[in-house]
Amino acid sequence: MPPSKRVSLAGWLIALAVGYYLAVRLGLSFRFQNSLIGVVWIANGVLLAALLLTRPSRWVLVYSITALAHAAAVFPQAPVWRVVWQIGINAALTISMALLLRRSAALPLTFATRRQVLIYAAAAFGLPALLALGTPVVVRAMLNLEPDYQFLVAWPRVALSNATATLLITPVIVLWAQHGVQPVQRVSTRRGLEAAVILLFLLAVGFVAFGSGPEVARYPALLVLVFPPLLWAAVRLGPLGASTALLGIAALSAWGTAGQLGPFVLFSDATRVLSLQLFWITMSTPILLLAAVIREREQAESTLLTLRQHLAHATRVATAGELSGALAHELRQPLMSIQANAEAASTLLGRGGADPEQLRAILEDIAQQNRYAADVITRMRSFLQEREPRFEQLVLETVVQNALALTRGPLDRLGVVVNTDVGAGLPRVWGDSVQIVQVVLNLILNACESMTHTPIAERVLRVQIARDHGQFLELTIEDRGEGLPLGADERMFEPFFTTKESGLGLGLAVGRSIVTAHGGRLWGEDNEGRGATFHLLLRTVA
Amino acid sequence: METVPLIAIVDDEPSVRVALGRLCRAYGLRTGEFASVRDLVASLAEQRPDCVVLDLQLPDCEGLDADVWLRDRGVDLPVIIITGRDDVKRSSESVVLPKPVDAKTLFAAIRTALEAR
Repeated sequence: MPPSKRVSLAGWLIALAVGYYLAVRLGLSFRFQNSLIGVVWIANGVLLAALLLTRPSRWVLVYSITALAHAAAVFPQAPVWRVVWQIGINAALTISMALLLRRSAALPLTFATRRQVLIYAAAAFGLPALLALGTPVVVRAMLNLEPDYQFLVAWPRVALSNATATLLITPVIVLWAQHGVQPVQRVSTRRGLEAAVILLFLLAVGFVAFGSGPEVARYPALLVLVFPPLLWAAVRLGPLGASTALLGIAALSAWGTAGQLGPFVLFSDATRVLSLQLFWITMSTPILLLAAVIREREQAESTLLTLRQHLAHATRVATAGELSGALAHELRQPLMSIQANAEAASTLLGRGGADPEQLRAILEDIAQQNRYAADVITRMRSFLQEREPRFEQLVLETVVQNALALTRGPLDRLGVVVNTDVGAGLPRVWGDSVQIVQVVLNLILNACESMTHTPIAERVLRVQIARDHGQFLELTIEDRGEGLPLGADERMFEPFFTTKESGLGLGLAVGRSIVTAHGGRLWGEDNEGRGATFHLLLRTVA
Repeated sequence: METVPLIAIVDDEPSVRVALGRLCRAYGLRTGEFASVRDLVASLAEQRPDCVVLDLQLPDCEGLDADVWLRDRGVDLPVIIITGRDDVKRSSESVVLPKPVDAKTLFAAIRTALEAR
């Protein structure tokens, strides 16, 4: 093991020992009157978190350290036999819990799926209930050796004190340990600000709900007050924010109750603690579950977004494949010109007495054709790149010119005359340039395809950009082709609908999903006379 | 007296048309440049070229069979076709050269065409 790792392990163990020691002391300071049973046995929550965060091969080390810390914290108040017994049963509880979670909940625990939260909650109730039966106080109560407790009182209290610790403490430690402090520095200002507002809200609500004197504490609505910040945290800050907020509310309620304030002090001592525990339990699982559901939805949405992006890219690649012949032709054009110019110049020079002006003109043409070829390649490359969608202000006309340039091959081959009509002083639109080029290019290719049987002189493509009444620009692409198949106005936007022999049938489907994601509209209709017209609406800037 | 042969260059792409014209003239040939086969046909009344160098990318007569189109209109000239397309399926006898063609190949084809007259 390299020294730095050894140091970090040592540091980690020291932190565990100190944390565990403080947890025991804190647990002891907040417990049933005249009893050894803590209200929330924080130490077991810490221990379970340590087990979940380490490999089983390290567990012996974890237990040794925490056993020492445990002994140090409770000596000399408790007799040795009792401490040893307690340490043993704590080990049995936490280890069975850790093993169960490792086996069935798929570590690491992220609390980001319903399955994980439900398994965790079931384990957090079931195992403490079962293993509480082995704790010194419960066993002795069963045997009537415990002066303060009946069995039926001791058992649920021990069980609940461990269940609450598992539900409130462990998730916070595990999630923060996995999340780390650094990512917190990297969160956006807006997210950070929102978290700060939630924290303030939570503190304010907590102080009002749990820090009020008896004259206010009577209102049952006080307890409901804690839910808005909790729900907010669960919806916006995920499992990490939800579990932290839950712990915050639990701590505030414990603080208030200990200070004889808040709604829980209205009850007698015993019911007070029980109702506090039940309050924690009933609020924690639904809130954690809500955070998980929201996270699952976010995950599903982001997966969908990525898939959509991949699909858009894949159809661009397919389109580029269709265009490759035309692309080769388009590149051979400047290459031909460059070759002929270069050979002409070299022949002129070979003969001697070449006119410098003529040579200059030739060289300028060569450079210009070279730039043209480079542009063709750049345009195709940027069309084919796969990147995160980037919304920016676009001049729709430029985008359309780009698409026309990319489809120059098919347009020229068919001898299609393009009539462009762009209104004056049009605003820009919001969009991802690559994706909008993709949509427009697809419409142009479809138009070309539908005009293969149109007499050459009639092959006209009318491209119009005008302001729609409202916050949209409307791009209209009108061809003189075969028109739309009967009743296909909507069906043609379904995936795999195609009238072409070699088409995937994805062009329009992907086009519409792109346009919809842009908050725009895409539709097509048959012309009165001949051909079809497609309309594309895109939102203008401001 | 042997006159300098006249080559008609038909290409709708100005940059290629101009470059091919320069090349032919550098080799001491006379050239006439046309943007379309129709323009060429229109010019035939004034002067008749000895050979036509033709780009296939010509929409006015479906490109590929421009030479057949010419022949159908009674214009019987040797035609050399330069093409940037890969999918060339043709029935006529004209020489087809792939783009970008080098001077050696082009002039070998022109010489053959002129000698066959």
